[in-house]
Amino acid sequence: MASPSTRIDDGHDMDSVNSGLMREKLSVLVVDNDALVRKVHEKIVSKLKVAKQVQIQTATNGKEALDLHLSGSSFDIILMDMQMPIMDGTEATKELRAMGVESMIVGVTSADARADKEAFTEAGLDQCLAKPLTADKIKSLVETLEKNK
Amino acid sequence: MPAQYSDARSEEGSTGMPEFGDSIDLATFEQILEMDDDEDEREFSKSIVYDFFSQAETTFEKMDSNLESKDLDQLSALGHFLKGSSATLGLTKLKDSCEKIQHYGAHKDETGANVISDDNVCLKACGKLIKQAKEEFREAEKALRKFYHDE
Repeated sequence: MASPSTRIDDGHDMDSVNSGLMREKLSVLVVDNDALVRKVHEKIVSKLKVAKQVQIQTATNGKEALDLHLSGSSFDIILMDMQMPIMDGTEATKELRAMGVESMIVGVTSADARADKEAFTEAGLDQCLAKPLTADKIKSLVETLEKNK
Repeated sequence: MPAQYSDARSEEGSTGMPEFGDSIDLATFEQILEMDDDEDEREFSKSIVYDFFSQAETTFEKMDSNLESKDLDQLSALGHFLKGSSATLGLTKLKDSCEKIQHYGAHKDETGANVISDDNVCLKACGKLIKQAKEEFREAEKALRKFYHDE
């Protein structure tokens, strides 16, 4: 099983118009069993420059996401895939909320079944987005985070 | 550098729209291209696309094997798996076929709304869809290899 990976981007030298108003730090956890999807979502987040420092970790399934939290990690945003082996997104979201995790948890799914998406949302998601994730969708999540501060 | 733009490139750094026909959703794929640090080398997007080629080949082999062994559950899981990365890259036709494989593997019709209890009906449908998905993949692969000058 792949171990979670961490990436830190320092956005200090970027050319954002609002750099003076930019949040200091953003930490994101990308949870998806597909390595390609993890790589793309990780890159989208790192390229956004929505914070002076962006820290990204990845996990390959819900259990790894849980283990990260049990070891003391915390995140501003968790991008959670729905269908994963070992522990799926719905179960992982339930467990994280039961643990008291208050991070923004965003479901990311290519599933069409309404019942599955409803169960996923009811597990404790803040939002559920369809794949593919885009830069605009993630920027919007960060804006929501800022509004709810 | 990647080519096959509809506009002639008259100078370094000029950009144009790649031509992929209807096998790839340009808006989605351009999101991937935008992540390249260098528009000439296109290291990131190329790595993602070529990783996808390997992933698709491996997944199709597994689909063939599970079709042979009549394992509908596995076929459904494989359809779902390939659907996600297809969607991420904008390979919409392939994504749709994978979704149908996912549904038939789960004893549902292609929309996923209605149950089909007959295994043979589901397996036959999966067989046709796997063949279709492979053709759709080849079409997208050809266009992408051309884009990356790897024909």
